[in-house]
Amino acid sequence: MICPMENGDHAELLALTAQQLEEPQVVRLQEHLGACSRCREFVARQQAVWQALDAWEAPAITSDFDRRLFRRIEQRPSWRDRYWAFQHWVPIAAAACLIVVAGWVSSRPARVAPLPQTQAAQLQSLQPEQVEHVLDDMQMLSDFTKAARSDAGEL
Amino acid sequence: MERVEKSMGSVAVALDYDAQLMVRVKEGDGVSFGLLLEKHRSSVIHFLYRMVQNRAVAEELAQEVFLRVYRSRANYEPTARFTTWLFRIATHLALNSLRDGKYERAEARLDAETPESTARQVSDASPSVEQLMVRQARLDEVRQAVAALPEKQRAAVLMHKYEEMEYSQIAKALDCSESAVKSLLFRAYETLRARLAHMA
Repeated sequence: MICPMENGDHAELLALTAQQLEEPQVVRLQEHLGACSRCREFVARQQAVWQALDAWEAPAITSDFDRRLFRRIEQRPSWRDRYWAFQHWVPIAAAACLIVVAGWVSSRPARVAPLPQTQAAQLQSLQPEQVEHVLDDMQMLSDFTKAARSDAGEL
Repeated sequence: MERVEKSMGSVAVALDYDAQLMVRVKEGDGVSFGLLLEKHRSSVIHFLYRMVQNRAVAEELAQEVFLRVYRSRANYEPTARFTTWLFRIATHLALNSLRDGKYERAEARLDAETPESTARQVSDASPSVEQLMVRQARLDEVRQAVAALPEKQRAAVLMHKYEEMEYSQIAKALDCSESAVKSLLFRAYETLRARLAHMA
């Protein structure tokens, strides 16, 4: 067989130590270990690590673990949960608001642009004499137009 | 590399059983949630304890794990093994907890937990004081060696060693590829071999 160490496939040797291989693989690897000192040394050191880790026991679980959990389940969601739930809806609500505002803006009637300040000032500063003068001018133009038409009819 | 599936039949039955229980939880069956809790409570708490090395923090995180499982029951889809999903949540919470700074508190409590461990061992086999001290020193060495591993390497080793999870499951729990898991495990065990091989 190809040497796992030379092949860079340490996973097979790790699996051997973890007893995760099937019998034919174990037999094949054991035969190889008998002839390969590198793999033998690797497995021995890995087994030492494995045994050291085996010695590490986790402490006992507190007796009220389940009771505390079910109490939390029965409680209303915490402010943190509600905050996260709220955060989940924020982008959707913001998008909806944006659409409503955009629709309102686009549906508004176009406003008449106000007169420039100079024009408004001119209108405000018109005097009665000026208005009379303009009306006289208009009357004169009207008389001139009538005279011109009557001349044209005579011709 | 081929891995032993223990027995393909039993694995498949176990997978279906957990998934079926969770589907029943989704349908509102609280008893099924109790069964899942009973089945996986210890493994989750022990995994978290070895990650953060603090019993109180580990139990608090485990509560959060099962709370999340319960609260997300409506969205559960049995697309992967239940345990993979469970340990994905547990790993996520453990890594966040370590990054949030609870790790320092956990390290500070290593010594504080020593008497408790010693007391357990006394009741086990009545060894001499000297044997107890040697055993305790070795245990501390193991704990410190594991704690010194980078977080992802630590999680991979704990899932591989104590939960006997396959590379594919570890990959899903850590959200990385199988080859990345193999690399993580190789580097982690290499570090541990350098630190712990003398214990043989």
